[in-house]
Amino acid sequence: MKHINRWMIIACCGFCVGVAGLAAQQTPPQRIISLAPSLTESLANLGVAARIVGVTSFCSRPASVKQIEKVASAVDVNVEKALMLKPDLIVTTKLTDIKDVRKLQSLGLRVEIFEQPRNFDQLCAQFRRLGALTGQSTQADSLIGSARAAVAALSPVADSEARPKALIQIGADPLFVATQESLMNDMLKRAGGQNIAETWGNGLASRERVLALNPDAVFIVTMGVAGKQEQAVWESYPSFKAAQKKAVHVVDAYLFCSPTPAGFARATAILAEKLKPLR
Amino acid sequence: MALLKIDGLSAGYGGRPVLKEVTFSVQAGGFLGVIGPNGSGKSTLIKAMTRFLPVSAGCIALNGRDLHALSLSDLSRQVAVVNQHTPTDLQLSVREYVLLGRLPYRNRWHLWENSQDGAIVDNAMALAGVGALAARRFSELSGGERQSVVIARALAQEPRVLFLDEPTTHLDIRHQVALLDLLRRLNREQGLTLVAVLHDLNLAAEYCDRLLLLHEGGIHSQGAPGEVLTYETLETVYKTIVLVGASPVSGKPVVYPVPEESRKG
Amino acid sequence: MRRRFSRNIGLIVLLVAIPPAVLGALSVGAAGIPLKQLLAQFVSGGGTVEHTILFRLRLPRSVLALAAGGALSLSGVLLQGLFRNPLVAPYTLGISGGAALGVALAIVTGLATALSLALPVAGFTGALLVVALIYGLNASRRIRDVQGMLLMGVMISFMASSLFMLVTALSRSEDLNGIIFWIMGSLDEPHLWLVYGLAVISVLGLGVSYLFVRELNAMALGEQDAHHLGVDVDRARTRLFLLASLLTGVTVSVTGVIGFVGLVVPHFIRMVFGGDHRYVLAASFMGGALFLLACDVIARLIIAPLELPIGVITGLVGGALFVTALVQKRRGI
Repeated sequence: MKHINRWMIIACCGFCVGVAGLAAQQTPPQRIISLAPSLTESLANLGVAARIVGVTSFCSRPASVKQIEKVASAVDVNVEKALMLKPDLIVTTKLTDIKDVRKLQSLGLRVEIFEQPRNFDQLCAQFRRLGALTGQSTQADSLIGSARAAVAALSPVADSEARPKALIQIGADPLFVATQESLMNDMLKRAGGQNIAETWGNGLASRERVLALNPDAVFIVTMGVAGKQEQAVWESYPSFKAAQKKAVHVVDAYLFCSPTPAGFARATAILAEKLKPLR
Repeated sequence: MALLKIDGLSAGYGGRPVLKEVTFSVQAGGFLGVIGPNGSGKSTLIKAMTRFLPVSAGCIALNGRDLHALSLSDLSRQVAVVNQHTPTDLQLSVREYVLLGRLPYRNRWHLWENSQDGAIVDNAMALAGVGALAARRFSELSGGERQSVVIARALAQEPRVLFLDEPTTHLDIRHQVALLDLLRRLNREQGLTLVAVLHDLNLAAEYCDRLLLLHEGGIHSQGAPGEVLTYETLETVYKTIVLVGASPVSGKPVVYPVPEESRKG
Repeated sequence: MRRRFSRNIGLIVLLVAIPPAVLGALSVGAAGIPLKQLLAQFVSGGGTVEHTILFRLRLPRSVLALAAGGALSLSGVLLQGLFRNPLVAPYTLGISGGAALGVALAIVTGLATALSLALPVAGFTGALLVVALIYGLNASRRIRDVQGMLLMGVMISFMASSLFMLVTALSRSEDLNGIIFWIMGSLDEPHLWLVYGLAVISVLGLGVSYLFVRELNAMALGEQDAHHLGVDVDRARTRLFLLASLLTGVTVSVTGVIGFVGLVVPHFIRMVFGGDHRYVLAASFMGGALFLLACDVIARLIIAPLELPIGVITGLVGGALFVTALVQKRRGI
């Protein structure tokens, strides 16, 4: 009888420790620092905005995150401040200075780095990863699901139909366009368009080349006054198809740059709508 | 007894020969004036004799020893040079500047001067007549004062021979005479051997006991001023008409220029 | 004599100013750590956040500021002495251009993310290549003229910068960020041994530079006079160039490009201490160290909690101080 009791006690203890261990693993991070506006917004979408203790000075969506402590600017992370906030998870993108990342890691903090997504699938995978990190996998999957559905619902282009040619401009002076390196390339394709600049390296382009290829539409993703000026420039070219068809559009840069899956779906819908009359 | 012997010296700049097989000697305690037209090689001679320029042929012997066999520090303890140009913007006091003349006697491990250096410097400044300027800033000196201070620095090197490259150019007559008087005193009283490039023939004639006339990279003539400064020689070398007379003060030769209008007839 | 006395006092003042400056720098930061607690931290060991912040963040940063400021300033003195040109700075010869190019290539090829030491090594390699190029060109042509060497350095600097711009023009946006960060200079170095290594090299560099005091003082008179005072000018020039390049190259590869220190500090020091390198070397080293430390504090305070790039502060503060001093001097005369 005594044996059995001893072994049973040990087994129970083992079981309890096991459960506790599992439970500990499953307690998601409660104090998160986000070093990128896109990640901040994604975290908010996943419903964990309340767990964010530190953001960058450029994180502005949703509006509620503006109240959170700033630990980084566009170019620099205040490591001291980050440390003081005692985070259990720091999420960042490749845009953050690698030295700061290493510094944080060397202090024993957990840093998860997210690469720049190049297409919708990668974007969803990252969102899923973020969901897993924060214990919000179900939430993540559901949001991804509805985003995918929204994108798929955009009237698909039949194989027999020609896709309208378009260009997405992301910088002026020098002219920068979205290539296959950029998420916006995938937006354009899923919206039913064809990116004339898909294979143009890092995106540094010449206007001449654009004019020579004469796309049906141009989407300008620059912010503020520059957008309007660029629109005027494109519209001033006499034989430019996009100008003739009144298809030079300025679109909301905030929406198009580093979006979440839902944002991607919305942006793609806008593109699809603008491209439809051109088919 | 020749202190300096130059034998078949040839030197030039990067393949362009300037001096061709120059041979002469300087006696201990002598005051040699090097004269000649522009481009005849006067400065080149000084640079070659002080090893600032490499020589392509010939040898220079100081007190019987080949100059090129000496180390640079040995050389700078025997030979001092007063150049034509000294930077005027030095942020040093006059005394600090003269102290630089003691560098050849200190190796790189001795950062500070000792009291002996100080005494030698004070003595040098006194000899050069610039003792009163010790605390002044080098950059604030006038041209004449500066040249004397440079000479003081050269004296602080305790050289056996002092070379001067056109020390009186840019000075007014008062300072020219003062400088040359100083040099003569150093020569006569301290026995310092001097080799000076001078462009003013009359000053050279007045103060030097021997002259070396250079012409197109070679020696045209050498000897006492009276021997060298004849009107035929000067006309050949300088290619201009001159008259040579005698100074009413010292009897030394004086060269009179002959302007164009006086040449008729 | 009186001047020597006051210059010695000046040196002592600089030396004595360093510890309080460091303490001041250590007490500045997002986590307000009062002075008493600061000193207590030094004594106690600790697993507290404050202790980590102090010893893993602020102290290395301050040490790096002192080391880099000293090395850059010293390098400036050596180069200005060897070229007899007060406008020469450690970066004039393209050493920073070479380092920047090396770093840009390391980032663009992905090396930087693969190996954590890739950035400093690439920076140093780039700097070393520029130095070797200048040295090789100089040695083979046997240019007597030191101005020729300077001109070559400036040209190489332009070429390196142009190549650097080429690499950045062809790079992706996320790489661009990394390159820009590096260019702006930073005193945050994650590898602590690099920080302390630089400190050691910096101080050693100061010691070695004192072996060249004779040469430096003599070369101020011009190459001819220096030669006639027994200085082997060619050898001195080479060695001083190598020493200055080493100091600059090592500093740049750790901190990135922090400008103006090597140009401005020696000027100020010479205004106060005169031209004698026995004073100027040590005074510039300490002056540069204090200057960079002060600039770092300003960079961290001015728009707290955000920090300005250190290069911005050295440029603005250094430039402003310099212009004021120059104007006052002119008025004095």
